[in-house]
Amino acid sequence: MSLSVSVHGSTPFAFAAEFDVERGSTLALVGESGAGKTTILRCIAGLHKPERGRITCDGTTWSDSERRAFEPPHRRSVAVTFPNGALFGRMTAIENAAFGLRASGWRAREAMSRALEALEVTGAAHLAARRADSLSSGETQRVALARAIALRPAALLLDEPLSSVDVRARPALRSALIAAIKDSASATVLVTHDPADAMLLSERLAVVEAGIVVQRGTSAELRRAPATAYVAAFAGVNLFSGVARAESDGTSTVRLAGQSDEEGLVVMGAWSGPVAVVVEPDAVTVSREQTSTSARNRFTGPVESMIPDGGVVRVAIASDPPIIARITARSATALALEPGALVHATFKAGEARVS
Amino acid sequence: MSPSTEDIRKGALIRDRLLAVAAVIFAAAFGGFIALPLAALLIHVPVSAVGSMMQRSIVVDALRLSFETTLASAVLIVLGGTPLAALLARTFKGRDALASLATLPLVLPPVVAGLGLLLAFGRSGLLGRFLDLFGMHVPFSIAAVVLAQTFVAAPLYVIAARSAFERTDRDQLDAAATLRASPAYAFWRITLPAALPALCAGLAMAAARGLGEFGATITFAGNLPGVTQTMPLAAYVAAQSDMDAAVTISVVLACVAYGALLGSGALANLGRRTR
Repeated sequence: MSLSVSVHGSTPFAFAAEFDVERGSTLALVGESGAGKTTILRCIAGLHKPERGRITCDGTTWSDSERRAFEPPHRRSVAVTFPNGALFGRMTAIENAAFGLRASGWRAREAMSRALEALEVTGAAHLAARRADSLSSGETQRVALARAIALRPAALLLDEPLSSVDVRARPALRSALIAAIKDSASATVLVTHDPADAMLLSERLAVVEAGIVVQRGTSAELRRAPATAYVAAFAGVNLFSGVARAESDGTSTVRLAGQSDEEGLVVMGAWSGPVAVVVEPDAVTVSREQTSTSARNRFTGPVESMIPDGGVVRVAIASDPPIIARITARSATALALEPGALVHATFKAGEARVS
Repeated sequence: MSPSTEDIRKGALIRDRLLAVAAVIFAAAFGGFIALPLAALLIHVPVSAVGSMMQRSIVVDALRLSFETTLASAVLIVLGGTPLAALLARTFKGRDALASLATLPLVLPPVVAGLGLLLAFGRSGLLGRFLDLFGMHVPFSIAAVVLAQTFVAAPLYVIAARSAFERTDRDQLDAAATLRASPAYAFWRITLPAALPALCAGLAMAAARGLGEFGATITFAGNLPGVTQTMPLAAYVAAQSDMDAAVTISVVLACVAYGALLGSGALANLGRRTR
């Protein structure tokens, strides 16, 4: 039970991708905007016809250039969410969620009750009677997600589900996505340009550059042996998941798993609830001595590895949790860094991006 | 000596002012040219006699006939024109040739349209000879009036509907397709509701054109009072002998057409807003 994709084409530009996704698991198709992620997704949906290749799902052939087979989108057990939601504006949220079921011949009553279940999964049940064109972007995505999973598709394709959503609404929407992905038990393909979304929502990543999948693997695998500079930068981002608590001084404390109430990262802005904290390796400073005792965003541990990258070095530190710093080769020399050396890594609260 | 920048600026100012004045004068003259005949009609309305005029059989019969035939042709135009417009909104080989053909009656002299209809549906016409076998005689009947109006007015609806269908949100159609909607189901649930205001606007235009149909009707359906004499034909006949009746009918026609245009414009705006 899986989705198997192998596509090649030259329109609208050259692209090539090969990957498998098991039912119940998620693959993130990542890359910069314009890299061709959406084209690959559209091939799976049947909205774009690849020149060569084969797509099968649960043993059914969706497209096969050799046998000249091509199933149109409406005959594939697939569901897609679009970056802007693409809801049907004149219909209510529940009519949107029931659309696919009605199109496949379900009776109105059964379709509505299944649609309501789906809206409950994505936390949008209270919006059921609202007209779709009156919803906020976050609400729109929840309804679009419900509309997709209501069909229980074999393949669930999510195209930038968080990109149009306000940063404040992201953590909650991400939880809804996790719930929807779990509920659908589909082979899920997530298109995103955001490392945090890719790592939090999927088990494996496929990195697309200029239309071509350059590397596949877990984020840990990509971090360990990145094939390109882009992969290194994408997978090398420091990502911490925790629960935020707003403080009175305009900052928040994010307690990570296993930390006590007194510990936790300090970030700017008032946040509460589960959040992801992203810190670019460039923003992390490394020192041998414990310089400022007041810095709470401090990680202490031995250097695990040092990967040179031009004039800079990516230093992986085996602290708890681990962190990666990107410093100049000159500083690395000055600090006499070498694997096993005990170091302190810090970053300013303002450098941490909460999402 | 070359002109100073001040002189150049002044020259441009005068030129622009002249352009603006000329534009206003020409626009006003043209607007007057359009409004004058309508004003002349309104001035000549026999105000005191309108009541009795509206009871004359030539007026009453023509009103009733025009109303019935326009309604019937509107139904035919919607039933046939909607799928035709949907077809033309897709891309296929020969689409432009077909689209031009569907628009042709709009620019064809109505007499030519009437002749064509006569040669197609007449007793010895292409289709008419078979209809004759079943005892059906289309020319010079109320059916001929309806067919003439449909033939001449349909393009206005088809053009409006096609452009509305082409404006359908591509993302929504993609979403519908990935939600198990066949092209036909997506058309019914997504394209058609979105296009509805534009369809109504197009239909109002077509109905107004059908109501004013003259040339094709008189050629194909004749001019039989009470049977095929619609309002434009009645106005033409009355103009020879009974100017008051002719003016009354004409003003009614102009008012209905003006109302249809206003309604059509309002609907078109509504369509753009809710899209």
